[in-house]
Amino acid sequence: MIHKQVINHRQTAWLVGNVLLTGMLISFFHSLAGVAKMDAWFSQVVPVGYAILVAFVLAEMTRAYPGKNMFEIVFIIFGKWFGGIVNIVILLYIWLIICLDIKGASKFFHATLLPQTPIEITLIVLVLLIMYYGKTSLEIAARVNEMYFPVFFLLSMCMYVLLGNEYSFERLEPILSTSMNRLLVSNILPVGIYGDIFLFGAFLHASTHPRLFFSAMKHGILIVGFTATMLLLILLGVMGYTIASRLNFPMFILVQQIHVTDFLDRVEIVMFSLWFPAFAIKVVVAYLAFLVGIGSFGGQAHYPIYNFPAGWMIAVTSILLFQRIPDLDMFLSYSLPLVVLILQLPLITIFYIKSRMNRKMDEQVSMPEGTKLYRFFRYSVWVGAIAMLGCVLTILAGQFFLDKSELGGIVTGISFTVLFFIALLASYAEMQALNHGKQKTARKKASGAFRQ
Amino acid sequence: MNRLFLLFFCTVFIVKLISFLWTRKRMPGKQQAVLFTLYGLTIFLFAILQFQQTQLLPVGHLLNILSPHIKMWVDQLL
Repeated sequence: MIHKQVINHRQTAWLVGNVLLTGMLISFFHSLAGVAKMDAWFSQVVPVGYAILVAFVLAEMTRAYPGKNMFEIVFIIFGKWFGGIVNIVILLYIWLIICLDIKGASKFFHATLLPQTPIEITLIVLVLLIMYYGKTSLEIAARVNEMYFPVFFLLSMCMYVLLGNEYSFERLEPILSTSMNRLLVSNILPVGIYGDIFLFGAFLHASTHPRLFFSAMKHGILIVGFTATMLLLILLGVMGYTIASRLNFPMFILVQQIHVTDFLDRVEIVMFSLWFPAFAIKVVVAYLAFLVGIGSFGGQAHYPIYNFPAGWMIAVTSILLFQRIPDLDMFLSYSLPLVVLILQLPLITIFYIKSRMNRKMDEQVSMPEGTKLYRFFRYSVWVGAIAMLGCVLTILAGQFFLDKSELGGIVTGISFTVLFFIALLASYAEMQALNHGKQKTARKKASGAFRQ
Repeated sequence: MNRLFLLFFCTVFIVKLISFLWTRKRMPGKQQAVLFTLYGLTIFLFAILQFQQTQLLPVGHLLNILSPHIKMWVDQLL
């Protein structure tokens, strides 16, 4: 069952985008608005860098241990007993992510759209849904995600236009006037959410080309970084940081503000009809990772056999955890980043060292050096890296060198957005170049030569 | 707790547990051990759930034990 899972680069990128983005839409943005105030939209740079680092280590693990997932690699690296303990800790972390999402979504629906429905019913429906996907594989989730994620992404981008009549640029001003401490803390808080990239370690066996896998994950991470930046820009421009930081569900209220015409009312129903399936896929991915992890303890070939007891246990624990929305929000904002850093940093360091020592696949990219495509690939990598560095420099320049004038703020804001967008485009170009290279190499093996 | 949920949850759980106990002889030992652990944990947590959530195992409190301290530290930093 487990070895049949193979997903392509686009599916990987969109799955990463889905997993990281949908989780932060319930209530997370209000913490960012509370900390960084009107500059909260500069809060995605450090977490994007952190997620890219984890993705890089995961790709290195694929190179050193081809065909193995993270749980198997842990057993190989740490041995049977200590590896078992490490795997249990990772499983607890994944279980926490699932419970947070399920309880968060149930609380959200109970408080906003389904106030008459008992919360246990909403919760069990969500658990039954993930259990249905638990009988299948990641491929199915990836295919369903291909339908919902692009629409969700486009609708998120369209919100800028839909909320144009409510938007006021003055609410963002003065740009980059909050202290560096606030900006730094606002950049650390999302690390808890971006740490969900670790879930993809459970599906390393589904990757056949490590470099392409890394590029796809990087593209997904940058989609999330850019979309979250845009959503925060819209949220702060429509509500201002004071209101945004005091609402439990700021994105829900934001969508409710869409009043394009008198008859186009209740647009939030349409938006959340799209958001919910996309969110469900995120929980499904986490649940499949949980099943793969459990499977590593008791014969992993048929993990669906653990589907029912695992699903029912998650249902019970989800009811048990986080009785109030502020508890959940507090954990998500303040404890989860700490949990992620304490758990993941030592693990990825050990994984990286061991993977470098045991590297089996030396091939960096699947195309010959010196070709036009290779040059394009290198160019995209460099443009992406320089653009991300430019984002950091823009924030630093805005903080330390530019005066806090209106014009200086606008210049730094526009530069930051444009550079982030360039990084996103460059990551797409990098991923596509690698994919074309892979296809051409495959064709070359069949017949003909690689075109210079 | 909602009675409809309770009825559905318990009925399905009992049916699945009986089905597992019936077929477990054909399963490898490791698999049986994992399944026993999962069923056992579900029963244990479900029993806790029947009391006031904070009486037997204050999970929410345990998980959030660090959050106020981190928040306070962050507030001081800002």
